[in-house]
Amino acid sequence: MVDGLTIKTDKCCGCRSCEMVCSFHHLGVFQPSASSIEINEQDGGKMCSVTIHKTRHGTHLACDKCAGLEVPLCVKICSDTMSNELNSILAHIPG
Amino acid sequence: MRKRDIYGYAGKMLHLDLHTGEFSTEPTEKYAREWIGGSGIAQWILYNHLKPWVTPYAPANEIIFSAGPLVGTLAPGASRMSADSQNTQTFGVGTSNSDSFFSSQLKYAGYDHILIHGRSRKPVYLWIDDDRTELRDASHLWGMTTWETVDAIRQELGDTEEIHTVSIGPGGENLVREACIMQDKGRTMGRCGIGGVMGSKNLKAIAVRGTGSVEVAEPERFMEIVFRLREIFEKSAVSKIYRDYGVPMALKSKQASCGIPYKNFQELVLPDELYKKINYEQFVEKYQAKVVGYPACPQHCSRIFHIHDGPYAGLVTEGFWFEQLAEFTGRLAVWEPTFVPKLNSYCNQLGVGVDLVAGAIGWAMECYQRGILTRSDTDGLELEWGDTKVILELTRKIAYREGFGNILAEGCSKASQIIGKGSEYYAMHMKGQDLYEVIRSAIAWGLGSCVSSRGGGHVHGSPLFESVITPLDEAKALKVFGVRVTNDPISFEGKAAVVHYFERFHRLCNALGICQFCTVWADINLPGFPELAELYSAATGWQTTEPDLKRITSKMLNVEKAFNLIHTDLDRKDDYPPDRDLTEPIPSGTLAGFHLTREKWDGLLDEYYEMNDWDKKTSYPTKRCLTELGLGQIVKDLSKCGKLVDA
Repeated sequence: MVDGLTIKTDKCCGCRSCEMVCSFHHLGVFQPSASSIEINEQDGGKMCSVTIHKTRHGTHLACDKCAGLEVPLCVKICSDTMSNELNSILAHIPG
Repeated sequence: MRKRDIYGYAGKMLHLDLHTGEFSTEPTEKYAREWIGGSGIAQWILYNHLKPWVTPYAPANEIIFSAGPLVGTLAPGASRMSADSQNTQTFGVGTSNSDSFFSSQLKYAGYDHILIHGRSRKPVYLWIDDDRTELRDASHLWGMTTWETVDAIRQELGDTEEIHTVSIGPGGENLVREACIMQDKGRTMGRCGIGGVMGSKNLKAIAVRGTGSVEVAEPERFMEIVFRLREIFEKSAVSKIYRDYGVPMALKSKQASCGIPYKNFQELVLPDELYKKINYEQFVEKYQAKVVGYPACPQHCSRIFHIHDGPYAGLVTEGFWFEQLAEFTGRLAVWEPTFVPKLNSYCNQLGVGVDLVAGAIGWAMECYQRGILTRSDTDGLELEWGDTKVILELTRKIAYREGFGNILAEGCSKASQIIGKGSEYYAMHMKGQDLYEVIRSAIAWGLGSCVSSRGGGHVHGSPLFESVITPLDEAKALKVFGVRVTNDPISFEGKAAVVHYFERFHRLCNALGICQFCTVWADINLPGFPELAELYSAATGWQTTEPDLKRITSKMLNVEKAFNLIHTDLDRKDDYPPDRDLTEPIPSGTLAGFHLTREKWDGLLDEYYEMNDWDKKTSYPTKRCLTELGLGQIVKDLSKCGKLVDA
């Protein structure tokens, strides 16, 4: 069971920049398999699911909302169109 | 964090001998310092491995798939991959490049390159799952389209999310001259026919999944550069246009600068009525389902289209570039706007390059118009301009080499040699490779396309600014290119120098794995040599300057030049535009009456060769040029075949 929060949206372009910056925040390397945020294509590419893990899930580390930073890095690196969506998920993550 | 042997790079090159099924690896560092990565390394290896007697479909030909040292990081636009092999049209340099998810997965799996040797006796596909590699039976996949292949492989391997693929369709299986390689379902390595080389080797696909990491040497410095550069993209007007609508927005400026090959280059603009009907902005607003971005790209210039009305209602496909508009709406004179994604996705599924399809069919339609071809030649089909049913049927015949399609599958150059009867004049190609670029209405664009080592194409030397979406900042252009240019397309001033700049800069992008649209090529304010030098230095820890990169990319250019000289008879005589471009003035539009003559082109070539220190009479590199670049081996090789100028 995924212990995280997932939304489905057509605003995510699927570039995985958030996955890369998140893993960089945790580990100092680019490793999407370790990222707290997980993007998957849906509906033949017409949508993306965006999941943020509250606790460790397989290789994916728990989200700490980039504690100590002014803005979470996934929000910083993503385009403005996704800010609301990301913030709406992050609002449910402890911390 | 453990100390790595090498940073930026994954560190290993994977070799596969299809004849024996054996795998081996070697360290990327053996080549990385001298050739950077990507197609830079690949072309050096091919130069050394492919003897003069090797032909494209022979088992002795090799294919090298490459990521680049910046792929898998957040360097803006670092999502490209290359396929390099012997060119099936020109028999010289073959190199093709695509956006991809495949290349970053390859890096996370631990590899920078995959080198394919030999030939399998039966259809196979390669599966790379981190450090586990397996050659799997593909006899059940043989015959499938690329889309069917991707779905079947993901189903078979039990993971529909993280597995990415490169594959061929019936086009590659049937050795169509410019069969392409599909990356997943939406992007292609479309030029040089390397899909057919895969087909000749019975290699249906490669699938990859990587859960490892890419590490940079100076993480804080690297990310500071990344965020600084991303801010420039935010401010770029060109970037915004690409994000909001995509590259086909170039239609407006290409129409204004006579850059569209309408009815096989008989006109260079669309008729007014057709131009208004196409209205690409409205097309996007009507059919766009979602924007698509590739890894680390801040520009997101692709999109998924869902065609919900018209003759192709129900089609869901990734979008297209200006090239498809130019080829289908322009060259084939199709008036139905939704035909563009329809034929593009059909070509992708069949695994045939859009340039060969439109090039060969466009040539055939003009020959039919002029009575050179009749229904007895065309399997009874009436080749009327813009007939979408005929175009789809001919595309299918090309992919399966059926009937008249078997001739068209050779591309317009070879097809015209088969047919004769004066049809050769209407075959628009460069060194045998089908060409969509209009040469006579944009001098630097044309020169870059004509002298490109892979036989035509605008991504190894042609600038975009002569028909760019927004006006050129000339002061900044002077600073970047070192020469005064305007975006007057038919001015000759500074144009040879700009091609000299871009044939190095494009090679740098292809070596690093950076998308050219995320650079000075698209907008003079976006990253250029200095910024890519910064990123490469921070990623690898090898402090590298702009002059270093210009020298390395000059070496790459001369390696490719030497490959062409050894494997083909291509020389100065093959750097001229098609006869049509030199014979016919621009017929209509804003540049009507301009006539690109052979004499003008001679002057341009002389200037370009002098800048490269190549002999003006032949285009052969001078001994001085090669020696200064440290290419002593090439001096010996070219001397042996009598193609070195002793200056």
